[in-house]
Amino acid sequence: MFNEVKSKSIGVLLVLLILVSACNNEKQAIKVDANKMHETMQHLTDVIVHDIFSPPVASRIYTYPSVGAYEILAAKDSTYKSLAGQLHGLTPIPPIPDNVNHEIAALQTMLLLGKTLIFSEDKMDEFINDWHAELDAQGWSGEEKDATLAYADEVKKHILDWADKDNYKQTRTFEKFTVKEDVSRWQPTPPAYIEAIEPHWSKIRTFVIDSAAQFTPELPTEFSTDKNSQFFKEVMQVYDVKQSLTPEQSEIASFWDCNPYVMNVHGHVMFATKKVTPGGHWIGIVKTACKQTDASLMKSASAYVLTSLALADGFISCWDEKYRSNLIRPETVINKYIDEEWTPLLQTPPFPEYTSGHSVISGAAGVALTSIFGESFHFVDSTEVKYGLTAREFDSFTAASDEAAISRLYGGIHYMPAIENGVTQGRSLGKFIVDHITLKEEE
Amino acid sequence: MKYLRLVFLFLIVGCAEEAEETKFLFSDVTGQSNIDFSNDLTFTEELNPYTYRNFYNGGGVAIGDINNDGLSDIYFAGNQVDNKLYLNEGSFKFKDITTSAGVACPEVWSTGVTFVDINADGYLDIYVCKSGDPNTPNRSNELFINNGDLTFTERSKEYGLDIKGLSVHAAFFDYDKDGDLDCYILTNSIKSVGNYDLIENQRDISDQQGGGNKFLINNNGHFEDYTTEAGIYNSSIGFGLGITLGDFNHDDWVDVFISNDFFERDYLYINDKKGGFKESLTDYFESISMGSMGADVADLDNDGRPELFVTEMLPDSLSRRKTKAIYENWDKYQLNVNNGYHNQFPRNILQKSITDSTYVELGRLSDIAATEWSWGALLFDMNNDGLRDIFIANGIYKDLLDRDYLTYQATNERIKEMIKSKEDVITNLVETMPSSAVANYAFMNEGNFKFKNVGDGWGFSEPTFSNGSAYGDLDNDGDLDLVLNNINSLSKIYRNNTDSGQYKNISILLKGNDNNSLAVGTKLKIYANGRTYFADNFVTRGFQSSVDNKVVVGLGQGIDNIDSLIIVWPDGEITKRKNIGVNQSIEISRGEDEAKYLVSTSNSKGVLLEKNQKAPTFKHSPNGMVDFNRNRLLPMMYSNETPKLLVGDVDNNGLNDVIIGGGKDQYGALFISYKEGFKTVEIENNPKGETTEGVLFDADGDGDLDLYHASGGRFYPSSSSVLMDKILLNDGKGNYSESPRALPFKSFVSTSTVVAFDYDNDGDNDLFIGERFDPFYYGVGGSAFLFANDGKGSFTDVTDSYAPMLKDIGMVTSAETADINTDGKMDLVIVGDWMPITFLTNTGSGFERNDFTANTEGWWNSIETADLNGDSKPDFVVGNHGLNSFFKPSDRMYVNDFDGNGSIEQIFCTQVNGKYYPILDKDELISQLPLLKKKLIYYENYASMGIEDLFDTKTLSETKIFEVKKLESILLLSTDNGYESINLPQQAQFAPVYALLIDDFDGDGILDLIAGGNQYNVKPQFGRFDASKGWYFKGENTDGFRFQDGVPLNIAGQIRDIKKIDLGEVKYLVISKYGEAVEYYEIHF
Repeated sequence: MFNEVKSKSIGVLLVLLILVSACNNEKQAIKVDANKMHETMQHLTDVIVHDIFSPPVASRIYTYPSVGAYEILAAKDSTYKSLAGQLHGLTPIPPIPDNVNHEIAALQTMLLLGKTLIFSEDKMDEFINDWHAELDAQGWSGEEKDATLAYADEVKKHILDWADKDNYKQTRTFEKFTVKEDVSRWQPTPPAYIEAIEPHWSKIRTFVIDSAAQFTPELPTEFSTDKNSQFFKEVMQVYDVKQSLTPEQSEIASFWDCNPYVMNVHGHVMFATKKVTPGGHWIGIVKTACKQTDASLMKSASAYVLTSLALADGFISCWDEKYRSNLIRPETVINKYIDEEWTPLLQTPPFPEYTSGHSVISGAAGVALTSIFGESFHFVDSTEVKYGLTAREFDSFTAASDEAAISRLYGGIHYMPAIENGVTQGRSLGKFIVDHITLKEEE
Repeated sequence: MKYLRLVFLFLIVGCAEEAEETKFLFSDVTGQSNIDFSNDLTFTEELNPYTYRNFYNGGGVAIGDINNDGLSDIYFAGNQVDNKLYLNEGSFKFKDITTSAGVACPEVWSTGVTFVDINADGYLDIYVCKSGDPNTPNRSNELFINNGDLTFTERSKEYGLDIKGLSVHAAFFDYDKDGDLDCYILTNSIKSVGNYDLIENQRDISDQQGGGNKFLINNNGHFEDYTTEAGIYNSSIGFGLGITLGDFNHDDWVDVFISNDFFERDYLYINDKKGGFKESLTDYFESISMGSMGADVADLDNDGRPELFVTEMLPDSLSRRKTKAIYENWDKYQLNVNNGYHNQFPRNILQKSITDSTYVELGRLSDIAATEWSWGALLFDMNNDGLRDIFIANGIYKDLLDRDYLTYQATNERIKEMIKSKEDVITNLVETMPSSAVANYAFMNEGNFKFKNVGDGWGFSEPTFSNGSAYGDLDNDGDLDLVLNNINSLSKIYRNNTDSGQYKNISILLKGNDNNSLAVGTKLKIYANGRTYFADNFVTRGFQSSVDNKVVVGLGQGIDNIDSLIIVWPDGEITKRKNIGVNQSIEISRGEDEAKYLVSTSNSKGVLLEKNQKAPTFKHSPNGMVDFNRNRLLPMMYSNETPKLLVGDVDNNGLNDVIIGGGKDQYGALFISYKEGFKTVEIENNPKGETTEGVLFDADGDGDLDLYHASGGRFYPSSSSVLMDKILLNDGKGNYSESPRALPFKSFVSTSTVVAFDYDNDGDNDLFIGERFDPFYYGVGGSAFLFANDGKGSFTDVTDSYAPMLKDIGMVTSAETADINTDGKMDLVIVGDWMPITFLTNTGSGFERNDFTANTEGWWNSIETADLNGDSKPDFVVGNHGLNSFFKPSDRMYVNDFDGNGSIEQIFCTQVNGKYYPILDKDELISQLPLLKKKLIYYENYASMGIEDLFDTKTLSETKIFEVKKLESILLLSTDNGYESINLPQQAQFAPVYALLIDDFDGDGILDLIAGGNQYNVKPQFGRFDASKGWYFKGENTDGFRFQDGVPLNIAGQIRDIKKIDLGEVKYLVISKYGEAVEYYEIHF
């Protein structure tokens, strides 16, 4: 890690030297390498993991910083179009004064917004300070520095004013989810029996889609304990898959687990295992795709913003359905009617079953990334290596999102309709976003 | 002798080192004792708290005289170290004879130890329980038979006691009165915890691996498995940590209490006297402890009935509770209860016996509910003042529940990091766990279930990790010394320095019959100078330990002679002795002065209630509301305060009828009384809303009883017309129809109380109406109204002109009218949550506040009035929250929209050293106020932050602050210039009082009181309030009016109203409970 940073700064320095020698007296603006943006997003992911944000909330944390950075960069790049007017409630950012280094301002805004949205501010400050020290070493100073910082602050406020109206604060005190006596409805699951998270996430303002209910999937299979019913067959499918799980299926399940908080209980000894969220996993894939294609800072910003919008609206849409159908998890059904000692391979996350969040958001993110990098895109996904898993290879984002979806069956936490209908829901939503958001003027 | 020595030491205070030693009641004499046992534990990659969850459970201690030299010896059980046996050589000098005795149990994890004379040869044998890795050698429990020459021979196999399992402890007792000792072996199942906690009926399934608890009967010296036959659970969810023997139902047969750790509830096995047990815990106990550890049973108030004390793990201080304890949420708790795991709470539990089979839980009232990670309690008279005190051994070597550790340290991420850098991952992980030793606890019994924390003052201030503990009189000076088994430090021997000259004692050594040489299971009763003392000689007590079989009873001061001693032998025969000197040790053998013992029957004093089977049936429909879903930060609910009862002759047949309010989606009912019985009629009104109160009064001046029907509760918002109160007019025959004249409310009000009275002396009934709160926001709203009657049942709101102070008066719960100043004008007394008892005097031109009762802000639920002291002025009884809770006077509630999102939050705070701290769990607070998370990333941050550190001055200045100043239920007696406040007897403070009824029940011309209450809907970390069984308090008016101590009525449930009706010869007590059927009891005295 340390070496990587070092070599990168040398790279920047070389570029600088060439530029300096090219045009004599005029002070050349410091460029920001796209890698710095990837590091920033990676750092944001690390802090999200540390602070334990639930998947929907995490998707919101990725989106606002991405929009902030994108808006500044797009303002200076005639080929890109502002999102103001394209996203619900977003107005144009203040004009960029001449003495502002807009690339630094973009990243600075991204970091400041990230810092506001997470909890462990000191962890963000550390990152910002290190970066500023790097910039200072490159001669970043004086009026330009002040103006850049002041401008970044201004844009941060602009974006936060917008974010403040998304109902996030209000939903914090909305009524807690009520566990119903109804046998077909969701119940808290072992081992921590955490209350259902974010029951009112559908009331968060959507970014692109018209409303949370725009992509309502078809109804889940009707609950039944009749052995011959469709529902029971779907339950048995979850049960049987685990009994005959191949090593690869089990690897796939773990690879896409993406549960930000797993409580391990061994008697009085307990400990939490934390992982990147499903959204965070896809943000990691954005990084991989950008690096692989040597994407510019501008292009990287556009990839992050489009993917995070797909993720954020995907979660809103999915959560809308989850608390509409309130379907019981396979673990609860299996323990009650089939095998009381059965446990899923993955820990059941604390919210209703239908549809599968990972299926919806992976479907949506896959469409978003495909629109930028193309249908056929081979990549090695090493997002989970940090968490002790191996890397996996895919030939397209669609293939990756298909695997993310089916992993929930292998993991024993979803029935098949939640996966299939979830992918459909996510892809339709993704397509809507891609169709309705213009990042670049006609290419 | 002893007395003289102490005096001598006193004289040399200041000039001698020894003075230090006698400063405390207990002196640590380990240093001089030659005892060097230390239960040293080293964790490895293979064996550590992650791989073996009972890694830090420690070992036991046994005390007993193994060589019959009159000096009690000590045996310690070690986990990774050898066990040790120390011979007492007198004067606190001991000699390690482990090797020559052959009782070391090397290389195996020993847990509990019990001294028992299994072959009845007069010599104590040793039974050692084993646990740990199942593959180690010598895994079966061992029985060391005493050869009588300081050597032992292991003979467990021969006796059938070579049990191989995860044994924790064993108890030997004669359960079937056949003269020999049977055996209970306690197991802590290896089954994983966390995934299967909520499966129903798991305890009925025997552990297939044979790992469950075992009950063995003695068949001529050979023990045979009788577990299932005896009705003992042996499932794989038996996480036993304590066996406690006692007579729980006072029938003279041994019962067994089993403490279970984790999600499984405890067991109480009541002896069926037919060779088996009936597990009856849920019939006997309301609240129990969650992670139950060791326990002890003994009489704490010398009433002849035993109390049970069970230890748990709740940290003592608020800051440690915030960082080192985990609480279940409400939904999980509900699932536990629904799946048969009973009401389990994370705290120590004290069950006080109030009748032969009824117990009430008083741990919070006694202030002994939180003593850190407590392995076991011993109930014994530490200072020989005649009342048993409580000693608690505690400490966990690693803070397994440290919240910051759980959330931020022991993560996979970190484990991965460790794997990269180092080899010993788990050892490193365990090393990073915080470790904090805490001092053991000693509580002095001050009588009346008041306990004083005297640990420091009695010499227990040294922080240790103590597991097993046992008492015995090691120096034969008539007081009980104490021995502790510690992890990673020397065990402790404490000498008891009680001055026997002042505090008298008697020691009794019992000799039993052929097969029970120590007469295990004998009960002793001592009568001296008007005092009574009870004891028994079970040795299995506390945690994994066994106390000395010689019974030492503290008699207290001023007792120079024992009038009589009654010994009830295990088979029921008795021995009586009279006139025994104190401060001596006596030996009594079975076979002297026998007589058959008669089991005493229930106490005769009190009220006899007989449930009337022909009474009306009406089940109140609960609203199913979970207040915490809406107001997450509240510690308890306020949506279950109904139904109320109204009494009056509505059909003019000369007999009083009863009206009960309907619950949500339910009509109320009228029970019309006839000589022959009752007839139930629906009161058709407001089918959706909840009827919270009502009053029967003549609204329209036609001489019959009309009905004011009040709607309220928390279910519907303040905008809902369902909350509209109504007047129903009587046609004179008890048929009700809605009055055409609406009440003059300007908005909908969640009504709590109504009083009909003639405030303006114009001959008609006017109305006082109290508002409970804004249904959606506890802490907001709370006004009262005064409505004037035009005589024909049409009402006008006169609040602004006549009683302007009623606006925003508070969250009213109840009110009474009475002529306080005897000026012929009716005054008002209003009570409510966080409200002072508010006296409003009627001047004729308006109401005026009166400050009779300053500083009475309470959580008042109920008020009743009558002239109790006979001075022709009204007195009051006022029901409050009581004292059996974690809430304290000076606790506060801060109410504001703290995060400015348009919704109101309520933050309950308690005062510690002058500063107010939220009492909530950090996660709860943050779920409602995410903006705080930035300040409160770590639990440690939260522990040190008061409300003023959390919010800025501006926010706090806009915050409504409520403070409670008094929690006792009280009696307000009129005096010449106001009111004297007297706390009701202690029983009334055991639980919140919602229902009061004053009447002369026993016909002695003096008014008595019946009170009831309870509140079950409380978050698990605070625990439900369930220690009211309905109480009868007899009034006496000899030297000023007082209520006598309460007599239990044995009516469980959340009592919400109590009324009495006389139907000729028969008097009925009518009782309403939230969500339950109405009950009619015939009253007999």
